[in-house]
Amino acid sequence: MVQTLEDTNVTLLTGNEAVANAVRLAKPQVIAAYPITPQTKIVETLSGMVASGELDCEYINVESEHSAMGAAIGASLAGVRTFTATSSHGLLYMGELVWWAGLTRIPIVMPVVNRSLNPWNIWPDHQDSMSFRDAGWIQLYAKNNQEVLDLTLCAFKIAEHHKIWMPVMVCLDGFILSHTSAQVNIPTQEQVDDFLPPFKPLAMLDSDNPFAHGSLTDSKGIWEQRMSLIDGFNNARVIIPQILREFANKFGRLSGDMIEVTGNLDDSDVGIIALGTLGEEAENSLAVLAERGIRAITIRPRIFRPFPKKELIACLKKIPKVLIIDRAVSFGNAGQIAIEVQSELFANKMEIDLHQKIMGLGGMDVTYVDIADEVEKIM
Amino acid sequence: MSIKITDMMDRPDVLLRGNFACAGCGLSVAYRSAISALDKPIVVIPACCASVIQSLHPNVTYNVPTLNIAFAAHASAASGITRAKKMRGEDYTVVIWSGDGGTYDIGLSTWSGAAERNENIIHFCYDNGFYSNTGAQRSGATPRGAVTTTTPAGKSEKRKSVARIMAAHDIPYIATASVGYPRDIYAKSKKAAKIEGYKFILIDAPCPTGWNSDPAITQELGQLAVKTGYFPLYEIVNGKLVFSKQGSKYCDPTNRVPIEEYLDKQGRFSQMTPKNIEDLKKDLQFEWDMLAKLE
Repeated sequence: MVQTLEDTNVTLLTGNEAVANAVRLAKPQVIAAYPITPQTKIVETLSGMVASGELDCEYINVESEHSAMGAAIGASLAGVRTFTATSSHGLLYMGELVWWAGLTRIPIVMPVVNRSLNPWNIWPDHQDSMSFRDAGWIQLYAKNNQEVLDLTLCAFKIAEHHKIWMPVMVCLDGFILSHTSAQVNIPTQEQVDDFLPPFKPLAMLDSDNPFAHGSLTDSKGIWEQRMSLIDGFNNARVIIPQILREFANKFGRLSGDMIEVTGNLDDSDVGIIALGTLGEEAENSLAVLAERGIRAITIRPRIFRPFPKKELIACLKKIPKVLIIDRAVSFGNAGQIAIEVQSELFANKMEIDLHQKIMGLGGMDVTYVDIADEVEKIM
Repeated sequence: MSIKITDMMDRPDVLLRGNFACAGCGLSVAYRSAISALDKPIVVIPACCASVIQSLHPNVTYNVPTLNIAFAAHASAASGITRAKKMRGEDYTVVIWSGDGGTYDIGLSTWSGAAERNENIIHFCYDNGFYSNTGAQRSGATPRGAVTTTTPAGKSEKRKSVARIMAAHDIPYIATASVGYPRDIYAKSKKAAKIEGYKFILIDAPCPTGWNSDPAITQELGQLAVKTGYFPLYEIVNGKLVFSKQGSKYCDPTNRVPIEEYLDKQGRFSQMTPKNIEDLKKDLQFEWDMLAKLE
């Protein structure tokens, strides 16, 4: 379908450019990054913005992803808004420090441009970010380039909320979003400044108040820190919807909070749960399914960590059947979303006709017709 | 730079009482001498003895802002801090305090990146020639012949010259110093703080626990390392090497105390054969010859 760009605020941006524009508007003071396909255009665009003076920021061209996260941790603790971005093996290589930032609660924002792991393959799946679902990071998954920009802006506000104070991963499917141009409404600086306050450090490396961060800690201390992290996620569960609602009120987008439901939840035969672009593809399958006489809806979590248990259960109570599509595998078990949804269903003593399907690994194309076919099989 | 012992008393509280250092710990002498010379230091510490001796959270015996970070992340974290403080318009001396494992081995990539970017950081490496924190395993800094728990028959390779690797990065300041001469550590630390860019100070820090030496002679061992030619003292300022006052006469091998006097005081060298000692001597002379080319 050909569309005309009537709104002058709407421009064509790739997902990577959408990230870069969100970051420009969020004004981080330190960016540390190492290039990896398909994340590269994010860091290239941002380094260009820093070089041209469009973004007043220290840009650190580090020699590895491990150092990108190291520099981000140092910069954040020194008291500034901090950004990095990575993908696939880059995420794995920085893995030690991804956990470090998660477990010690460093409010870094990091897009992960989802890409398959080895052997070499640059196409998207969620195995990279899913490997870090337990690492103490908040995880957001975007369905299109507009949501990439919007969620990146929200990510800063979520990470830096003093009752959350945790790192945030914004996940976007490689190439499908990162390298595909689509319409994006870019907010003005004034609008963003009104939404996102300046960085206010909770604790900072400071001579007037010397403390040791990350020092040797006994079991009791570790226990306290882990409990604090669990509390942080409990806070996030409450505060993230508030932040998304504030965003929706101010910008008219991201309505529906933690989960976006498409279709008539109160009158449907089947629900489809999927993350990111698979969620949007599932939306497109609804019309095909309707033609085949199946009343389907999509239930797409925007937030995977904290896991939106309450919101998912509220949806699942209203549907008789569900198909869960995972773009990653917990090898030895099943897809991560399927495992977690089943766990919540059990905790809520709910029985539902549940089906799961792993699709799109290594960038295998998944069309709305493919999804419709999978739904039809379980009817 | 001439330093009086009283100068070093200006900041007596950088290392507080009650720390967990072993008796005769060379690292604690090095730390106190180096860090007390600095204005508003922020110290980044990777996994090493320095991350352990500071005491148990929430207690801390380092009375300066300290970031403990993963083994191979000292220079990256320090880079982040130095850039962030620049953006905040705050004047700090950002310091890496790493052992030889973190500098010679696992952290080489991260400091090489930071040195290549010429980040404004002082990188101190207290060098005891092995992984002391984990109980005396071999590192790239372990000298030939030394017994460690992973080289029970003595190490069969020579010690890596990390200072010359650092020199290949053409950073503005490199120095070596020894726990045997704390005032020299202090002076070099103060000098480094006045220079913009990446600075590296390698400090020979005896470890009685791992070296199987008498804790009472830590300082003497530091001095003997210099006098025997085991540990040359020098500075490389903008690529030009100058041997330091305390050590310059040992450029001439005939002025050196016999190496056996140094080796005999350490259990880690107790099974050295005459051949091992000859090989070690060749390694040491090789290093002196290579350094002389940088003069």
